[in-house]
Amino acid sequence: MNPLDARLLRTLRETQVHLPAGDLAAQLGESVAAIRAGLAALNAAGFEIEDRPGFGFRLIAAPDRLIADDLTARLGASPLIREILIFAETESTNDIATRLGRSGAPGGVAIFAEHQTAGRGRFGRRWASASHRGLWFSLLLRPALQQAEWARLTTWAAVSVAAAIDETIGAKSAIKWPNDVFLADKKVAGILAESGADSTGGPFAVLGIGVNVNHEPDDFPDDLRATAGSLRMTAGAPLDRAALATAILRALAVRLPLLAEYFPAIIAEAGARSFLLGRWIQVRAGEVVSEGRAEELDENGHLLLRLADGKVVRLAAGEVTVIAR
Amino acid sequence: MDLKEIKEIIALMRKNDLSEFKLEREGFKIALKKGTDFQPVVTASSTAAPAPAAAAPVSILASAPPPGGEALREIVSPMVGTFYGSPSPESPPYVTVGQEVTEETVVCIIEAMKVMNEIKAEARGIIAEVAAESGKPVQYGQALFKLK
Repeated sequence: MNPLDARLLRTLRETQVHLPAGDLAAQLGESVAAIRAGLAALNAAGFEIEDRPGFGFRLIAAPDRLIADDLTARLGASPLIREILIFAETESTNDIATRLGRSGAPGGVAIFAEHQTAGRGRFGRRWASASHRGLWFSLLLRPALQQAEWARLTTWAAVSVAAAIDETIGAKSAIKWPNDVFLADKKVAGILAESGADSTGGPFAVLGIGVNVNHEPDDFPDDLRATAGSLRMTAGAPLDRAALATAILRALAVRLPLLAEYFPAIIAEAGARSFLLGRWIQVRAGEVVSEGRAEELDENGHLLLRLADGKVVRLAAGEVTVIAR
Repeated sequence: MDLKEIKEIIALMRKNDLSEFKLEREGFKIALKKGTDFQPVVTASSTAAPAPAAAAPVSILASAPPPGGEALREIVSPMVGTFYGSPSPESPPYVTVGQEVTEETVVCIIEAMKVMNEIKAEARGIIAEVAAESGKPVQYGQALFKLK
C-alpha cells in the first residue's frame, strides 16, 4: 500500500458520511485523479467502498486480512508502536522480534503473523493457530525498567488484552494468573515474553500475545477443544481482527506509563479480574509443585499462596491447576 | 532497592571502611555487615512480606579470597523466579563447569511471570560450579554459578 492509499484509507475510516472525490482530494492535498486511483487500489486490495452518485465515497467493509498500513492508519500516533510488520506465515513472531532485538533494532515494533507454523508456549506447548482466525503478534520493547521488574510486562499485557476484549465484545473476561485470559471458563488469549540483550549489551524484551478471535470449536485440535475458546464463540458473530489488534495496542499504550510509575494500578486491575484469587489451586513451577489457596497478588504481580499449614509462599512462575472453588 | 544500589552501598562501605550498614524504610529493611573473612554479608527482608524471601543470609560479590583458598566469585540471581540451565529441555545447557565466560555470556534463563529472562554472567571467569538446579525456584541474590 502506498502512502497516499494509507492516508486515504484513514480519512475514509474517520468519516461516517459519504465524501465526494473532490472533498477527499482537498482534504489530502492531492488531485482528484490521484484520489480516484487510490480508491481503485483500495478496492483491488479488497476494501469495499461504496460510490453513491451525488454523495460520494464511503468505506463499507475492510478485507479480513491484516494489512500493515491499515493497522498503522487505525492506530494513529502511538507512544508504544513506531512500526508494524505483518508476515503471511512465519515460524514464530517471537523469534523474529528476538532476532530484531539482538541486531540492535530500537523498541516499538509490532510483528504480526497470519499463520504461525511453530506457535508455541514455552517448552513446546502448542498454541493452535488456524490461519486468519486469530491474532498472533509480538512486540519488541526496550522498557526503562530494572531487569527484576520486567516480570511486570506479563501482568501489564494480560490486563490490557482483557480490557480490549471486553471493550470489543462487551464481555467480562478474566485473568488466570499469570498470563492467560479467559472468557466463559475457556482460554482465549495467552502471553509469553522473553528478554535478552543485543551485542552492545542493550536489553530488550519480546512480548508475545496470542488471541483466539474467530475460531469455531472445530478449529481447535481435539486435545484443546475442551479448554480453548474464542471471542467469536462468546460474541456469537465474527469479529474484525484489525479492530481488535488496534484496541489491544491502544490498551497497552494507555497503561504504558503505569508500568514504571504506578504499577499498583495494574495490579489492582489484575486482582479484580483474577480467575484464581480465593480458590484452592496447584502450582507447578519447574519441578516444584505447591498447593494452597490463592490469596493475593503482590506489588510485582507475584502470587501469594497460603499452604495447608498456613504458611504463605510467594510465586513468580508456574502453571496453575484449579482444584476447588 | 535493587542489586545495583546494594552493590553501590557495599562499595561505599569498602571505601570508607565501614563494617556495618542498616537502612529501614516502610516495608523494607536491609542490614549489611562485613563478614569475618572480609566478605560483605547481606541480609535483606521485606517486613511486608508474609513469607521471608531471603531467610538465610545471602552472600554476594565475594571478591576477597577466603584464607588459603582460591577466589570464587558468584553469579547471583537478579530476580525471583524459576531457574533453567538450558533454553529447552532437549537443548544442551548454556554453560558447563570449566567453561570460560565473559560479562556478556548468557548463562541461564530465569522465568518470572512467564517472562523468560536471559541472564548474563556480568563477570569474567571460568564456571567452577553450577549452584542452582534447573527447574527449581531461585531467590533474589541467590548464587546461580560460582566462578574462578
